[in-house]
Amino acid sequence: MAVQPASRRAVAQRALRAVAARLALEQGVALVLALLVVAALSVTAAGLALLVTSNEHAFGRDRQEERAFNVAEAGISNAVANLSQLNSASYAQGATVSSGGTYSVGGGSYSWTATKTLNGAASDAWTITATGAQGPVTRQVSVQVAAAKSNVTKPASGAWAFGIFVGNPSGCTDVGGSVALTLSVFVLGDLCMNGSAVNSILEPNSTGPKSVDLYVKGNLYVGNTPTVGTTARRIRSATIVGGCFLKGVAKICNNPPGNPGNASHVYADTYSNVPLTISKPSADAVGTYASGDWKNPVCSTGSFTFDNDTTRNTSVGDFTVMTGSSYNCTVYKAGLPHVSGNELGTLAWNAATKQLTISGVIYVDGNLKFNGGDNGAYTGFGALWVNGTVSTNGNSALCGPPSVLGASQGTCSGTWDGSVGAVTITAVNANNSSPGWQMNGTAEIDAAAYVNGLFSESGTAFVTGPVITDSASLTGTPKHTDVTNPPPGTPGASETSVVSTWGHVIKGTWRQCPVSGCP
Amino acid sequence: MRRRFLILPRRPAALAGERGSMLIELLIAMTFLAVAVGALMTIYASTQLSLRHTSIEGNALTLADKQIEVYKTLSYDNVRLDASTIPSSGTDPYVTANASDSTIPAATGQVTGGTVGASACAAPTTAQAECATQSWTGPDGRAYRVDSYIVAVTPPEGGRQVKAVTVVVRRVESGSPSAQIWARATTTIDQSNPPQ
Repeated sequence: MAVQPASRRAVAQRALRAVAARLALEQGVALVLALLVVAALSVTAAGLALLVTSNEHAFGRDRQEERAFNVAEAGISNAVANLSQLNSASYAQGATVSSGGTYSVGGGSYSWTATKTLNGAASDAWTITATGAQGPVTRQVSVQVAAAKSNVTKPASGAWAFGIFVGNPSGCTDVGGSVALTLSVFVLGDLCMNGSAVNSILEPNSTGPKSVDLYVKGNLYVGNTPTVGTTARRIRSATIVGGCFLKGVAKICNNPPGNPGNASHVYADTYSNVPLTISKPSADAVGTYASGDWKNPVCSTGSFTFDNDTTRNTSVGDFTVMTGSSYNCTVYKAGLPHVSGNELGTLAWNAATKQLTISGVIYVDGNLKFNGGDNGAYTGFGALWVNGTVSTNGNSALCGPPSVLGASQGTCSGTWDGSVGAVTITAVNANNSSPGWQMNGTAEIDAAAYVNGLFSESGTAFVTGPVITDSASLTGTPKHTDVTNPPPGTPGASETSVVSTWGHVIKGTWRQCPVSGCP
Repeated sequence: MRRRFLILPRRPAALAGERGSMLIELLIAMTFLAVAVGALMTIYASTQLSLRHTSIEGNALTLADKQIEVYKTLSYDNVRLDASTIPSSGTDPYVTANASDSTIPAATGQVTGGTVGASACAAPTTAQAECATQSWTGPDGRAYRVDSYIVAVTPPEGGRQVKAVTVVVRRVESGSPSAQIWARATTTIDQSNPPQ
């Protein structure tokens, strides 16, 4: 049977009255209040705990940030220390150097990159960005460092100060013939003077300042008649480290003034046995050959073959620079356009006037021959590299300025002055032929010579300028010109290079970088 | 049809009177409160400890940074220690630190040559250079000892020599430095230092 609405109202009213009665009694209120208070305290405690945890977490991160920052700063210092070992001038603008990895310091780790951001005339600037990491935190800082540029000149090898420099420490350098050497001689091995001349090494002038020095690292062997200097005109100095032998008998080298014994046949103003540290300068044939586009010269007149096949193999064979027809050819630096500013060297020959003009560096992949009848004079300063050997075969002359061709073939009129114009000829002697440089017949070559292997003079053929060689067989040298500072491009020549001096961090360039990194 | 209701047995007379129910409620409430307040007190104590720890670490870190900054302002040659300020006792934390943490340099083999003198390092008012150890009162009023280590090293990636400066901060408790390290900082200084 369905309950009537009136009955339902009555039941609800009874229930409300019961609840009101219960509340009126206030039983259980304390428990409810306690629960409420506990709940409030729990919320407060939870909040507090959260706050403290958050604070600790934040501080821990702060600590790592600080340590990462110091590690990043260490990265900057180490980057500067690393860059300071480099020559900034040899890097192009935009070049990048990096730490190449991540390294540890003080429990953290760092890495860095440096980019050349300024390539100035007087100084460069590099921007260094270092990243320090400590745990999950990374910091990045960036600075700019300046590197001042300056020119440094490396002096020419002291070997060029000698008229003859023999760099092989073994063997005996023979001096023969009847004409004296009127130049300074340096021999790293032994020196054997067995010629028939009364004076084998002497001062060129009988009065005035002296110029001849003799250095023998090994022993000096003197035959019956040759002498070094004379009692009347001693040479400037004699340094003989080994000892002196006269006709095979050991002698005291020193012949002081007033000593009539002339025990050793060595007459000098000063004597010494202290070794020198000069060595034969090296010749970078590979580098010099690679520096030019020798196969493709640009000739305004005629033609000249410097190379046939872009391989350093003496492919040109025998050649002469004094050809029957004129030429004027310029070789450009390898890999660069053949335009003004990229020239490496120019060689020109006027067959009518017998005038050779040289400048810069020239490399010919062949054997240089001065054949009979090759006579000419040159102007300019240049370094001529010959991949093979050099030889003369009589009646040849290459006259240096201001001298000119002599009346007869194979002679020059006047005295070459190396400060007016100079040519150095380097016999690379790639095939190790012997001799590397051969002088025969009658010839005068007004040039400085650099020889790999044996330099041999015979007859009345001679090189006027200084000769640097491994070994030598010498006759007299009637003319000599000092070239103490050979043209650029010559082995052992003076070189000027740009070097960097690393300075300090550029003021105002230090900055911290955002998380995304330094732009 | 007449509805039939379940008839419960009558309550005992003692309960029917409801006397003492208030006391029981109170006891239960007190128990709850006691547990809650106890837990809260534990949290408060832990919080207090944590805040104190953080405070000490923060102050120590500030002191370490101050010391590092001093060396960053010096020329390379002057980044060094006064040998007379390096503790000689084998039990001093300055000496023993390396044994427990290899990233802290050994007490020997450091860059010396400084002439500041031990007295200047006793209780300086500002961060002092050349002091292997120095005692400070931190911003929080607590006593700290700041240990500095300076060694010459070559960067592992190559380059000229630099000086690695490591600063370690300890608390001074009962007049002695604690073994615990509260803060440390390490950086290197190049020969071009300081920045111009």
